[in-house]
Amino acid sequence: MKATLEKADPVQSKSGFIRKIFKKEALLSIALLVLLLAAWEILSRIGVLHPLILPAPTVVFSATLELLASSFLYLHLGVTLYETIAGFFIGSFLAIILGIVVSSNPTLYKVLNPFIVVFQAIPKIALAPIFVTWFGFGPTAKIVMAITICFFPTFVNTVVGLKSVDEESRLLFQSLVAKKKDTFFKLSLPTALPFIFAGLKSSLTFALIGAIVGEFVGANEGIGMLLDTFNFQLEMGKVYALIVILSIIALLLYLLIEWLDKKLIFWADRDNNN
Amino acid sequence: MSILVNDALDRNLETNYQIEIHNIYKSFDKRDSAVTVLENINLNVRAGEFISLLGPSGCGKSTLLKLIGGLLDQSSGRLEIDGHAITGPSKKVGFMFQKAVLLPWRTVQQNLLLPIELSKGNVEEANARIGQLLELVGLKGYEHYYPKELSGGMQQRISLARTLMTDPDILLLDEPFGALDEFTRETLNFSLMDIAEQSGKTVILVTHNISEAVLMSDKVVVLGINPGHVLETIDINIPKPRTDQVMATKQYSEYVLHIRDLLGVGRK
Ligand SMILES: Nc1ncnc2c1ncn2[C@@H]1O[C@H](COP(=O)(O)OP(=O)(O)OP(=O)(O)O)[C@@H](O)[C@H]1O
Ligand SMILES: [Mg+2]
Repeated sequence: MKATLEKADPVQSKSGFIRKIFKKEALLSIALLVLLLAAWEILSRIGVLHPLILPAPTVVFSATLELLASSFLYLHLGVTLYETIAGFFIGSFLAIILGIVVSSNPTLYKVLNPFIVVFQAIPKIALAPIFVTWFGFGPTAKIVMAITICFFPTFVNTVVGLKSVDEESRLLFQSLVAKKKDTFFKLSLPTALPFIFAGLKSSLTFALIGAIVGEFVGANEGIGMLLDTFNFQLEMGKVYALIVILSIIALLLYLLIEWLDKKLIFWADRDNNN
Repeated sequence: MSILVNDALDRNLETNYQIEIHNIYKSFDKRDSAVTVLENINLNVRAGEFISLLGPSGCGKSTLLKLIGGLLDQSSGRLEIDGHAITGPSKKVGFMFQKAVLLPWRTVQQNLLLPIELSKGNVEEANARIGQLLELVGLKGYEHYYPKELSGGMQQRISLARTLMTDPDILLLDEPFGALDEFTRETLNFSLMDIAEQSGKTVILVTHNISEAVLMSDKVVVLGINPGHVLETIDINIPKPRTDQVMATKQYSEYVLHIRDLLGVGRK
């Protein structure tokens, strides 16, 4: 942090140059977006795009405003968010705990590994109808779906992260006659934390997918159910409006976890992987 | 009669050794064969002695140091500290690794506290010690820096300070100043000699530097490669404390030239 104050060398000014290019690229991205939206609008107005296939941006925009002004949206949104967040927390918690348990014992790891590989290979979305049969039309089936689908990214990353402790650090703790517990909390876990967070980021997006898919299959509330209903009623503006709203929510959740990541793992070198 | 006395004297001396390395072999398992890295290593060290291990890259210096530190098991042979076989790392021994291995999420101060935390030592006392040790390694005022804000040489010096935090009787130092410029390196060498002489610590130092080894040590163990073996163990009979003046003496240069000869360095 203090090191960043000294910025006179050519390497730094080179990265300043790159930053300028990025700004220029951002402007170009926005310009491209405006261009695409304009083309889309014009093609809709002159009747090239059928409103049932792709309603005009202005139609989607006014539908979004209309939905945002209605109270029922928030009811459904609340349900979906509840399912997503509950699924995410339970799924990630299980993933981290199981990742730790599996990593702590090589024999256990070998015994469980075939099961893990097979379970990972199952296309989990295919389980949605089964969960609805098991747990009914309420939120439980969706939470279970979210758990199932968001479990693996965090689980795999926890295992990989705990394995990534380098030999020299291990030897250091060994030479200091560290207890197992201390080695775990003061070395292994902090080393694995950046990996775990990378997993959590994917898991959060996956949990939302799980909840929506669960609602598609059978539900009487939630954004997924709403999407299905509007689609059936051919209210295409509202369908697209819901997708816009969902995307914004997913983005906000992602930014939240990204912020937490940067706060918690302040020591990570992020320069190379941006 | 005289033979008997000699024998008794020998045995008496033998019980005085703090570290005994007897006929040590070490091999590592490769895919289907075993590679011998150390062969028939013998070395006896008295408490307070300063020993240097000198030899080409890959001759097994780090491996030997890890064996003494209880971080590796020998394939055969006898290894003892204070008459007890080494079965694992001991709190009596401070190990400094070839790499600095600082924890990136801890500040310098927190890194220095690690050995104290792990041994459930007194943190208050340790905090007072941190200032002294940082001064010793020339990094006073760097308490709150993170490792990534330090240069490689600075990190190594913090690593040395960390090794000294618990005040161990035996210091095993694996190329402690490898990443330092010559000036800082010499300053730290003299600090290290001061510490060793004042506190009576035993030091085993791995180095590639012949003159450094001669200047600092009571004994220089010169190792050969493939597999690592002792070429010669040389007692350096130059009185202590040693200063820069030593380097101007004939005795000193004879030791240096002899070791260069052993290692096959230079032009004849
Ligand atoms: N864990 C290990 N597994 C297999 N081989 C090893 C292991 N550690 C060391 N070796 C081998 O042992 C030999 C000696 O290694 P060591 O690190 O002790 O050398 P060194 O004398 O310290 O070298 P340097 O001066 O370059 O640090 C090398 O050939 C290395 O390949
Ligand atoms: Mg080495």
